[in-house]
Amino acid sequence: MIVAGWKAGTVKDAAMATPTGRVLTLEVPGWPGNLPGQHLDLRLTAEDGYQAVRSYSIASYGNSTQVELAVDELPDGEVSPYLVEDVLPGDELEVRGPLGAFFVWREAQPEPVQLIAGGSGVVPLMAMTRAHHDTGGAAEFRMLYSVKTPADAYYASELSELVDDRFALDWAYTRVTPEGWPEPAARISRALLERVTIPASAAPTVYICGPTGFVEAAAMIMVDLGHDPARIKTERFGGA
Amino acid sequence: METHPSGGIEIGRVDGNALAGPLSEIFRTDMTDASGECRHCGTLAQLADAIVEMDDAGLIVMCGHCGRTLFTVVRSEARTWIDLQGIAGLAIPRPAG
Repeated sequence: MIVAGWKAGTVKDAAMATPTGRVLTLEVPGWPGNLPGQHLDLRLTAEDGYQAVRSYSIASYGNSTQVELAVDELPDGEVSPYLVEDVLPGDELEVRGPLGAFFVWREAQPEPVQLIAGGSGVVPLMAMTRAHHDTGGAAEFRMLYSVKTPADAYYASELSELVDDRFALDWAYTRVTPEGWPEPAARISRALLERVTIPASAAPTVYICGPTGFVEAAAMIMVDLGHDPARIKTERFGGA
Repeated sequence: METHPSGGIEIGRVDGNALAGPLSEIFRTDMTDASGECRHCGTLAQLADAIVEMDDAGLIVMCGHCGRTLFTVVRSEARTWIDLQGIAGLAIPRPAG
């Protein structure tokens, strides 16, 4: 896959989605489209010429020149505070992509798929969920979405609306649960994953995305539950 | 977040998926699908699974199996320096079609 150079993109829409996160829609003339799961690199240039590049997963998929991103603000971040607090529709950014030949879901994959998301790690898995819904293929999809509190979830209502006989959704809350939630807040555990994820006997492809610590914990549990490591694809966002 | 004492620049420990863009400047293709053989432990694994530390000055890619450095890329004004000592070989899949 040859990666073209940097393209100019214009912010079309920017909306807060969580207390620290924003969904941005960019219009990128010449964008060749992207597969579910891919990411782009985004470059900002300061007035003094200093450039910063960061990678962001794409929540949208397919052949459109519009790309949708969700950006979480990191407390010590250099780029994310600008994208979450300052950037406005009409502002210009540079993007490079689509990137990523590894962490993608293709419509032709016949096997069941288990998605495990931590926080903003849901973004590439959202693209996969949307694509799976639109294609109407028979493969079973399940998602486990772990967030600190209900307010920190991206795309919560859209995900709930997508639930049907081919897509199941389970939530995990690590700090604050919704009212009436049957369990106390807790980090993901072997017991939880064993209960809500597709079993290893079904040989699913497992996609895990989120902060590095979360991804590694989830991946270790899935291997422990008998999943073939070659069927587990991970994307670490950094952070805790 | 693991941070180096370098004054507020975002440095995190991520994986080889993040290499797709930066390595495309050198290899002119998406390298996340490529596999690297670690010179230290002999493991052949996809670069997407490698451990990567990166900042604006460059990146360090480490073997996900033994943790030793596979390769480093350091960008300065005049040039990009690539140290490939930890890599015994790279397997780059041919594009389909």
